Parts: sequence; C-alpha cells; structure tokens
Amino acid sequence: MLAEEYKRPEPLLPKKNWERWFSVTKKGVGAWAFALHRLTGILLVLYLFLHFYVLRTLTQGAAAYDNMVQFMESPILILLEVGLVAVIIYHGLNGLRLMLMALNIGVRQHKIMFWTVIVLTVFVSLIAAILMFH
Amino acid sequence: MTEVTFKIFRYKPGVIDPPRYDTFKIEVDEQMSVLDVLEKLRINDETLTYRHSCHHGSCGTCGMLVNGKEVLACVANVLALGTTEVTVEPLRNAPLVSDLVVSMEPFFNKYAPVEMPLIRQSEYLPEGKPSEEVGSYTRYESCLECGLCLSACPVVATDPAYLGPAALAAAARVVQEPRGQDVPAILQMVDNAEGCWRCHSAMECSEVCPNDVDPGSMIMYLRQHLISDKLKHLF
Amino acid sequence: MAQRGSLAWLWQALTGLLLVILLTLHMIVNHFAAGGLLTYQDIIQYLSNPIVLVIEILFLASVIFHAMAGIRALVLDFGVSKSTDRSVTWGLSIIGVLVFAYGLWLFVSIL
Repeated sequence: MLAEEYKRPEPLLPKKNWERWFSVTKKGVGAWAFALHRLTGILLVLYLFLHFYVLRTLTQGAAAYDNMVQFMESPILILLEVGLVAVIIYHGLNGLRLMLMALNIGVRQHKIMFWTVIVLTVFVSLIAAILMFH
Repeated sequence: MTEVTFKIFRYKPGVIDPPRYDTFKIEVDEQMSVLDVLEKLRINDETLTYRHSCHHGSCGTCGMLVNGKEVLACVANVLALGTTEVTVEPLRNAPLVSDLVVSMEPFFNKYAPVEMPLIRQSEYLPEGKPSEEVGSYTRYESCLECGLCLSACPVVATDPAYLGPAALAAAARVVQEPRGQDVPAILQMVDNAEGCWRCHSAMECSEVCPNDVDPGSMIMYLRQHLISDKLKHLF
Repeated sequence: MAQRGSLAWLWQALTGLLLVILLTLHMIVNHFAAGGLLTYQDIIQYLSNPIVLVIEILFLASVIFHAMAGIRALVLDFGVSKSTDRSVTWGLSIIGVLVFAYGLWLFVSIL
C-alpha cells in the first residue's frame, strides 16, 4: 500500500514499516531515541503479559508462588531482569523527555536530554545489577 | 583536484526501468557542490534529470539524498563530505518522477491548506495578480518548501496521511502570528491523530532543515499550545 | 479517544507519568525495602492494607491503558484507515478490560 502511495521502483522501494522504524543509520540522536523508545515499549508490553501469566501462581496457593520465586532466583533470570530494569528505566526516562518536549521545554536541548537519559539508564541499571546479584 | 566516484540513481519509467546506478569518476576541486558535479555530468549525458534553480540554497528545488542524507545539492560541498565515494539518490517519501526528481505534489497538498498569510501586501502590483490555479502568492518566511523534512521524517515514511513537519511548522507559525488568519480552524486541522500528535519527536526534520525552520520545535510549540488551551478550558 | 489526538496523547502522558512514580514504588517495595516481598505470606500481608490495594489497582489500570494505547500508536503509524483504527481500538479496549479483570481476579483470589 505504501509502495503504491509513493510509487517507487524496486531498489528504492520503501522498506517494511518495522524496518523503517528501526533503521537509524545516518540518522540523528532523536531518531535513535525514537527507535529505542518504540523497541523498549514493545518489549515491555510483551513482558507485561508474561508477568501477569507468571503471577497466576498467586491463585495456586503459597507453595506454588514460593516455588516460582525460587525458580526466578537463577542467575540467568536475574541477568534478564537486569536487562528488564534497563529497558524500564530507559522507557520511563525517555518518556519524561518526550513529555517535557511536548510542553515545549528544552526542545532544542533534546540531544543533551537524550544522553542524560542514557547515562542515567546505565547508572541505575548498574546499581540494580549490584543489588540484585548481591 | 581530487578524483571522486559518483554513484547516481537513474530511473525513467519505461526507459531506464528497472532503475540502476550509474557510476562516474570526476575531478572535483574544493569549490564544487554536488549540483556542480551533476551539471558537469549532464554535459555528456543530457538525459540526466534533476531540479535546480538558484545555486545558493534559497529556492529549495535541488533537495536530494547525498550519501543517504537529505541535503540541498547546491550547497553540499563535495569534498566537505569527507569521502571520495558519493551516492546521489532522490528524496524519500515522495513519488518518483525521473532520476533525481520527485513529485512535490504530496508536499504541497499538505502544505497549502495552512494558507500562510505571511505575505507583504505591497509586494505585488495589482496587475501582478496570481493566475487562477495559483490562487494567491503565499510563503512561510524561512521555509524553502524543499521537502527535505518530509523525506527525513520517520513517521511520514510509514504513514502518508500524516500532515508532516513542513505543514505543521507553517501552522505553528500562523498560530504564533495570525495576521487575521482563522487560528481556531488551523488548530482544528492540526489537533488530531494525523496532525501534531502523530509526531514521535525524532527531530529528524530539524536535523535536515537547510534554513533553520526547526519544524520539530514548531510541532512541540503546537502541542504545548493545544495542551495549555485544553487545561484552560478545564478550569 | 480515536477522535481527538490531543486527548489520546494527554492520557498516554498522564498514565506514563503515573507509571514512572508507581513503578518506582513497585520496584522498591517488591525488591528492596525491608528485604522485599519475596514470599506469598509477604504479599498477603502487604495487600491487606487497603491504601496499598487501591494504589495497586490504579497501577494495574494505568499500566494496561498505557500498554494498549502504545500498541494503538504503533498500529496508527502503519497508516491504517479510519475503520481499521476503530476496530483496532475496540479490539485493544476489549483485551485491556479482560487483562484488567484478570488482574483483579489475582487480587481477589489471594485476599
């Protein structure tokens, strides 16, 4: 449909939508922020469903739930959870950045704000990692 | 003089079809722009088509992709690109007409309804009335109407119905300085899912804008304006 | 919601802001404060506080809204027609309500 709209022939035919969202080569910092925000958003929705599914053990009584918690303490899962923390922190902080921008605050400083978001994300995730592996 | 390899996108429906890239080696001095190179190449191959007019970045007709980035070819110095391999392609997100020429129709279809009123009334003599198809001479001060922003915008890339940076920036400008224009009508036009709320703040438009219109900031201005409007109505 | 882009955006922003606050709380309470909520017993005790329960339900509602509205924004970027948008919005609303009901059921089942 899009190809028709823009009437492009083969090599320049528009890529698939999802490829376009995540193609950030030769793009500015803002495009990276957008692609990351979208990617982390999708991951978080998937995680949300997984989270709710896992919590079904709450209805199966104390033993089932405590078993699940014990299972979650394996190092690989904790590592994945550190990744989850990073994803959450990025999405949240960048969300705040987007909100500020929409209120016309710091729009021209959006690149500095992006790097601040990245630094904070790394910093907080590291702290979380230390606490979680402790 | 430095030898630079130019890879130029060629496509003419029915003639050069499927499209291909033509490669040329050409000596370039430090003054030459991408447009200068195209004009040199055209001496040997007059089927090469591209748009241009002023040669100094004020008409906004020679927008194209140089090494994947939206630029005005006339002010894109070749050696300043810092590479001896230069790929030249037409702008994205617009129907392709021929070689490096894209149709500006979608751009103006979105842009025209804003009806920029920023025109010096004294500029045109009464006998210089615009023809019927043109309607009126209007122009948004800084905007060259080159279409680079639409080519760079990741949202226009996937959603052709999105109003896009140029039109939204023009609308914001009307809101800032109405000069008798119908501001509520303009606001209604941009206050919907295909207007200023479709933007994802990637700021690519501002990144490529050759004349510092900064459409991204203008879209954010519209949002702030609409939000504070809504909040005022709430109380 | 489908009509005015500004309202959709405003709700997304407000729930987003709320989530930043509530999720921070959620993480701190569940994992760090006073050793965290690691056992079934901990959770039952935690949820026996009615204020906590209200906050958790608010959290549940806003996270589901934010997620569904996020998916809708993603779909809208495909340049879909108005009618597709409408059916997608309806579909996501139904999924959202179902997931919310499921979440409530989780709360009820352990109270």
